[in-house]
Amino acid sequence: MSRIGNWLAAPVAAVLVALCLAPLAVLFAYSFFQVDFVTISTDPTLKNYARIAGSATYRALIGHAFLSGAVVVAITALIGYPVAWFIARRGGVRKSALLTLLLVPLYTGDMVRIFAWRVILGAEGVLNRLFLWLGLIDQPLQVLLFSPVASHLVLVYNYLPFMVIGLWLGFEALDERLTEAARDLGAPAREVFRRVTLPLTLPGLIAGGMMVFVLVVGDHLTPQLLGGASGVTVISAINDLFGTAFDWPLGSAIACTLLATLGLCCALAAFALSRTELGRSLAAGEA
Amino acid sequence: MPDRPPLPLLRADALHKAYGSYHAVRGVDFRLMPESYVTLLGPSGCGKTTMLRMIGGFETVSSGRLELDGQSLLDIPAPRRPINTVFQSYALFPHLTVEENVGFGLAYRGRAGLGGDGRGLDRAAMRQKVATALSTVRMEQMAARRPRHLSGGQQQRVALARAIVNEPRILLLDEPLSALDRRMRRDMQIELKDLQRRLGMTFLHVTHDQEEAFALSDHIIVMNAGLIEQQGAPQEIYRRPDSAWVADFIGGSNVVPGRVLALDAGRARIGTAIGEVTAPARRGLAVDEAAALCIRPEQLSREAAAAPGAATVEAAVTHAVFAGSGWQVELRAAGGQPLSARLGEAPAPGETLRLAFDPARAWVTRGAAAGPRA
Amino acid sequence: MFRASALAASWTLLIFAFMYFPVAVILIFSLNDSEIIAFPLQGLTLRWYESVVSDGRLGGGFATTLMVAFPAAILSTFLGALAALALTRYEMKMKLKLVFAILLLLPFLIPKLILAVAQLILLSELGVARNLVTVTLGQVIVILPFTTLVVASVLVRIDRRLEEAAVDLGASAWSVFRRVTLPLMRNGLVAAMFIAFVLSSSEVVLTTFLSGRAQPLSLLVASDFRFAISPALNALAVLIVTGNIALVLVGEAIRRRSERGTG
Repeated sequence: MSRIGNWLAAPVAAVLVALCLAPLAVLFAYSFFQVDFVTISTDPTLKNYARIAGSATYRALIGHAFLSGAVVVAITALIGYPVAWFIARRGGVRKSALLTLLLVPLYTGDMVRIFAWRVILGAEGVLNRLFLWLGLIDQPLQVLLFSPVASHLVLVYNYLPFMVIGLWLGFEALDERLTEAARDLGAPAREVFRRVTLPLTLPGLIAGGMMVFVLVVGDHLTPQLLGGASGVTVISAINDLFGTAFDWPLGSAIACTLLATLGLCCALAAFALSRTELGRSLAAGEA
Repeated sequence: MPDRPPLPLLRADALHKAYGSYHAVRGVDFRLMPESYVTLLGPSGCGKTTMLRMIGGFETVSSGRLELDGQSLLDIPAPRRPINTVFQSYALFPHLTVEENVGFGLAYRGRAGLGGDGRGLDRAAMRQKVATALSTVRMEQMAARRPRHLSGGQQQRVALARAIVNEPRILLLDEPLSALDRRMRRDMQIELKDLQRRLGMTFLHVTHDQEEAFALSDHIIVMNAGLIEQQGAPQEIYRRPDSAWVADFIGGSNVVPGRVLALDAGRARIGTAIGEVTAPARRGLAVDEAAALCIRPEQLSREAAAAPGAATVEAAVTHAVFAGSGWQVELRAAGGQPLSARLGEAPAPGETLRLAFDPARAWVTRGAAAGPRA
Repeated sequence: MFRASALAASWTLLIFAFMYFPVAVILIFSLNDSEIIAFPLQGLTLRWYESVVSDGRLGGGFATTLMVAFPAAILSTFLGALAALALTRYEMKMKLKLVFAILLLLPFLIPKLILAVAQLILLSELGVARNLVTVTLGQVIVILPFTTLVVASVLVRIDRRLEEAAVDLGASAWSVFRRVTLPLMRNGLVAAMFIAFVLSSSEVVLTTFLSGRAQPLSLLVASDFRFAISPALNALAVLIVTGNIALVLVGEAIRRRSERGTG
């Protein structure tokens, strides 16, 4: 049989190579160049990477990005678990309605979402005015906006649906009778979760966690516009180097460093996923 | 009836199908005679569906030969084979009406290939053929409906019409009745058999249901673990199972394991836990070989009613169920050998009965192979 | 058990309320008859919407958005359909399939800003001026994973036996596609196109880097949304959200219908 699939995939792969891989390759090449006054010198050099390795600021920025990612993953996982469990246990129409309702806020657009949160959290915002009106406070709470709390709240808001989708897939693959059996055998609820539910929904947790992590690390609008002084992220640093600072090679080198570390994280997650029972059966089933 | 040509319609020789190291079909030979209703019968995973898919052209053949009218099918792709399939759960196109479903294949009839006449059909001829096919299955009233608005039995009929309208040389049916409820299945069995007779078409029907196979077939091919265990007329397979496995799978029979003690003119003397019996035997048995004695439940009766020359066996009643025309009684004989019998009156639980049977109507066949094969 | 269920139900309700809270807030204050965005509410008005509709600057941006979003939606749906067909319908070597799937996921996983600057470098290396075509192509690549997923979700629900039945009835590979697969996946294509349109029209990161002088609506309003707060902006935000959600819901309804059809 002729492999029609290859012929269908070829144009898509070509577009992906031209518009995604090729730019990344050029980015990678640029990371070895250097700015020479206003021109870019193309003699290959490792100076950019040496600068990153030697700079506490850049290391801290990358560290911060990963910490933010981890924190948001943890929070979304915690608040997402009961939601995913609840959705997975609904039947037919209700389930698909809940899933649609969950995903719809993703399509409101980055700017609109950030604007809405500014309206809610700002010094002149809805919450502060409400609290003032109610007499709970006598001065606007500044911590509500332009703080790490604000930016992480909105990051959680932005990416929670991805975590719930991942966990929901995990719960769909979990046979409800297994938890019932565990309960029947006398395990208290906490033990049922720790010894049955958690290990069996782990693939969903890993998949959802990976998505949320990567998306949080890559999001610069939310911290920049809602995080105030804490809004400087590794991504916004790259943005500045390509914009105002006009040091494309250094920006490229930081981007490549970040991509490499992210890639490593994804590879680890994918490896962990393949080690779980479900991952194995998926790999076998899709063959 | 026209004279049957001596040549088989379909011939499979040493047909083999392997998926990597797994051998689904392990060298199978059979013939399909024209105008016959043939059933491929076996438990799930025995290779019967793989056989059907090889004939339909949906699976490649690993080795062996497959010929239609003496011409190899192996190089003919599925769309060009003059063979059509009634798929399990029907596979009716949900976006087309009943009429459009049935007419689907007629558009491709002009193509060169086995059975194709090289000419396309004009619209009027197509409509006529679709109408005829729909009336054949009594679905002409439903022509404009979509499949999801039909009942299971109606969908089944449309699937049949969609296949027979192309006048295939062979109609393949893949577990066609499995999605229907019990009563519907009975009715459809009668309709299928009737349709096959009227059309004079060759039907090859895959099923795991013994009753269905007996009800429909002129010829049954019993498969197990990728091999043919036995093939022949239904009565033949019922009365003279070729192995203990067939006897057990066909069901209904008491299969008592034993050892051949002596052979004489188509009869064997077999030693079993319930005694030594001399009965008609399968050919090819050897003395001292493992064998099995098959006694059908209706042949067992209370000793008082036994004819002279009958063999007897003593067994304790473990269970008795009222089964309409009599009692289905489960017993345990010497050596723990389970037996079933059909008796006129209810025995007391735990009662030990002396049962008799006519050895001339029992059957000695090959014993169970070493290790389970299913 | 009942208690756990009730707890999960209330928690889910709470989380869904959280997810819709921002939308609800801007909706309420876009209708509030006051310059100040605060409780207590002052009464109902539509004047904020009137001011948005009469803003000529936005009209031009909207036209530019359409000029980008239509081609982006069509192209990304077409490519997504090819990819989904290759992944779910037709034969491909397992290893090749895996590489292809990872390649498809890359634009989703790579931070958009990094992808944008990489494309910017490439464009400047090639000496290509930034214009609506470069925005469209840039957007297509980040939308592609979503359209592929939507089309694939419809394709995996089409019973393979339907295609086998068509082959059995004599149809060639092309006829099977045209008469069976395509009609059954059509709703998935429409749904993918709606979602692609929404994603394209609200994309800002790539659009900022790749658009030239002609600025689509998303960029025109981005600076307002960043720094200003006003009831008129609330109204604009509500209009955008409503448009997007309506398109997504219509697309989703169409996709669902195809599920029932093949069930």
